[in-house]
Amino acid sequence: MLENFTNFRLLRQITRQIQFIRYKKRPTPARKNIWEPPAPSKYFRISPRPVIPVKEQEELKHLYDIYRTHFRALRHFFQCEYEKTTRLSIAVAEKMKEEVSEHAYLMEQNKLENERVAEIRKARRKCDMAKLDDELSQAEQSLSQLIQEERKKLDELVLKEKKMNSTYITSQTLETAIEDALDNLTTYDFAIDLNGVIYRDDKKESTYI
Amino acid sequence: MVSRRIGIRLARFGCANRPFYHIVVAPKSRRHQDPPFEQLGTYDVMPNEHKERLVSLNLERIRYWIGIGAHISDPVAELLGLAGFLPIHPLSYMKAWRNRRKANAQAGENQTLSSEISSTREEGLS
Repeated sequence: MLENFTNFRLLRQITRQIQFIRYKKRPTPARKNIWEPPAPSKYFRISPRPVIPVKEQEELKHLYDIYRTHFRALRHFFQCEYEKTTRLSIAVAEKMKEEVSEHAYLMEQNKLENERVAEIRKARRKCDMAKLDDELSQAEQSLSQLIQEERKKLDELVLKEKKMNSTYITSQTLETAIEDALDNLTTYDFAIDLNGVIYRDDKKESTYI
Repeated sequence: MVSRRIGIRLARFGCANRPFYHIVVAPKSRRHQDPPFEQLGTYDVMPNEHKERLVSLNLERIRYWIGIGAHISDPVAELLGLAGFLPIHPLSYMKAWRNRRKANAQAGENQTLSSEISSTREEGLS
């Protein structure tokens, strides 16, 4: 108390030399700023200490002792539980070992399976290639056949043209052809009915040759 | 093992005049609303329409954190005690007997008051 008293006196001495702005408006609940000294009216106020009866204190101490003991036991239990699940424990190490062996076994199984499937794939591919070859040869055959047919057609056309060749007017036969045409005049100035009967106008002199 | 500076504690969420708490694991040095390591539950302080205060706890993770060595703050220890997860905290007992004492005192006062009233009434009647 004496110490408090002396401190406050010192504070008072100091604070008299410094001016503080005590803000007029403060938000509720009003509270002094941290750098402000206690209000002059509160310099020597000592807040009452909480009075705890001795009996109650003893009871609390007893209860706390029990609680702490129980809590420590529980914490130890949880700690053991936690350690069981971590890598440090033996059970987990065994489990890890089991997992590793299982992994190896599974990898081997996988390899075997892959080999089996590879063999099947190989056979299938062989079959597929044979089929493809077959198809190719067939296509080749059909193509050659097609070419032959085309050639035949062209040959026929050439033969036909050659036959027609005898009637063509060439430079040698031109004179005779003209004479022949002049000898045999043809008139196209006629009408024709649905039955194919040709009507010629005999009275009219044709202008066409 | 985790340092005891990490604690399971309440973090006040909610707003003015409406407290709501998260039960979180965070270092003690951190401010209460800073992002925690993990949220372990919630605590609604205000009683609902059925006069219940609702608490949710992730007991599995709480076990883990206690096992790892996290400290538990008093309010959370009280909650866990009332939930039956830990032994009942001494502070709960203390609050209970203080409340009881207060209620008894009030009842006694009321009784004396009512007896006084009745006696005065009797006097008045007579």
